[in-house]
Amino acid sequence: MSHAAHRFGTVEELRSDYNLLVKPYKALDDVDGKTKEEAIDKTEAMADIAFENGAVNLGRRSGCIGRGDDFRDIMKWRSLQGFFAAFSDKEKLKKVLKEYKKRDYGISVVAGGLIEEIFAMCREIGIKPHTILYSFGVWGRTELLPSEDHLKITTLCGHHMVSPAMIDHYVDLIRKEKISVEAASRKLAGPCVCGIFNTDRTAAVLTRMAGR
Amino acid sequence: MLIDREKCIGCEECFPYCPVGAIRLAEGGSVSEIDQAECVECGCCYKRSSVCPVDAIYMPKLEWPRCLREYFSNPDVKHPSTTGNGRGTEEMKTNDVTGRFGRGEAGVALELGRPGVGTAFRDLETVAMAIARLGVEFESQNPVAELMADPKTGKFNDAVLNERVLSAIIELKVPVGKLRDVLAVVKEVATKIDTAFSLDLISRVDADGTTPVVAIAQAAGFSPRPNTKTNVGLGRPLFKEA
Ligand code: SF4
Ligand code: SF4
Repeated sequence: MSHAAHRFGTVEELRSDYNLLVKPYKALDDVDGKTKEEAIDKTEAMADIAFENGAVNLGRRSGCIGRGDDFRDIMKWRSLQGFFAAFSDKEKLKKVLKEYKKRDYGISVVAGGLIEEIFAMCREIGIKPHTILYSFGVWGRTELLPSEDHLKITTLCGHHMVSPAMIDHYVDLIRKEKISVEAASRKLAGPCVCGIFNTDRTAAVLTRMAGR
Repeated sequence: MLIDREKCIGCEECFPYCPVGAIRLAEGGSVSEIDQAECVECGCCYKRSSVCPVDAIYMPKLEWPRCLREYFSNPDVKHPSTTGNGRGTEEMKTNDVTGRFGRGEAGVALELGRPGVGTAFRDLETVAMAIARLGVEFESQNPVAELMADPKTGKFNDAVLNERVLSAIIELKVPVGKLRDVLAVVKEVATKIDTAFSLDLISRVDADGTTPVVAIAQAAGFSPRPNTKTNVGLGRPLFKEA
């Protein structure tokens, strides 16, 4: 439901973690073929813009650039699935949104990140936030959660395909100098099918966890 | 998911891939096994990673209700009930196009098992039955809906109660005026379940950038996190604003 909403981190850390979902309305699948094809063409054009403006990850079920898949191959899949992207720099996301507004694709766009930053960005560009999904934290048996550092990485994948044990595994390999922090981040991005996993942020957390 | 004992060499390579820690060495320590009660059939140890050097990990045909584990936990697998992937709906993602959440309405979602803890449908039933007493309607497009024997009471089909998944969502929409009552129940029921959950509230954004739900939630003892996701309103509406 909310790949983008529950990313753990301090406000300072979250200043370098933004994300984007471009999502054509699913029922477009049931309308005429021409409308569907147009929506897919627009989605592809929107993905080009996100890619060209420096998304650190971008993907969909066909793969993601964060783990090293080729962007063109990922986008060959003609589907109304839309795509996800992650950015480490809010200015890059702002540029993308500005371009989307200018080109007026008419496809839904969801932007994730610090609320105040996203709303400020919208004001600057001249777009009006339509609907928000607030995250009101974790309740119930919170003692079952892994450490805050683990959560900063595991919550980058909304489906929780990245296990805390896998993080420990790579922290150990980094300490033993058997893998670089960057390569470990790409490995951790591997199980996340969507492309919303921010490899830059992961590298920063791994660096700290490995005591580097 | 199962491990072929004839093939497994007990190398433990697959262990870190499991998000719920269900893989362990079997008695004797020379081969590995998967705890079938804990495994949520997410596929992380299998095709998603292709980690096993001897292809000992395999997926048997999953019969109902065990197949629910895979539908809810493996994002590569479609839910037969919704034909969508994942556990949720389009909720606010396309709200600028669909108008699903109008002004004066609040979306409420309890994402049980999230982040990364896992849950059994028994816990979803506990939550659903507590909230149903307020006379609310659950989101019919959410794949959890078809598991309810009686959506009016929130009672689930008994056969699914012990099935475990990475997460599943109780999703509903209420008039903003009813939100306080719902949140009081959420707080109460949080102490009665065997898992953790992430809480989401969805609202249309007013012209001044505020929403009515934050003050209500804060008064009920819930604080919003500083980051989240926003539909920025670039979709072309297919509905007329009431
Ligand atoms: S399918 Fe998922 S839950 Fe089951 S053993 Fe493999 S990784 Fe663990
Ligand atoms: S990776 Fe394969 S061989 Fe190694 S423990 Fe797991 S199932 Fe056995």
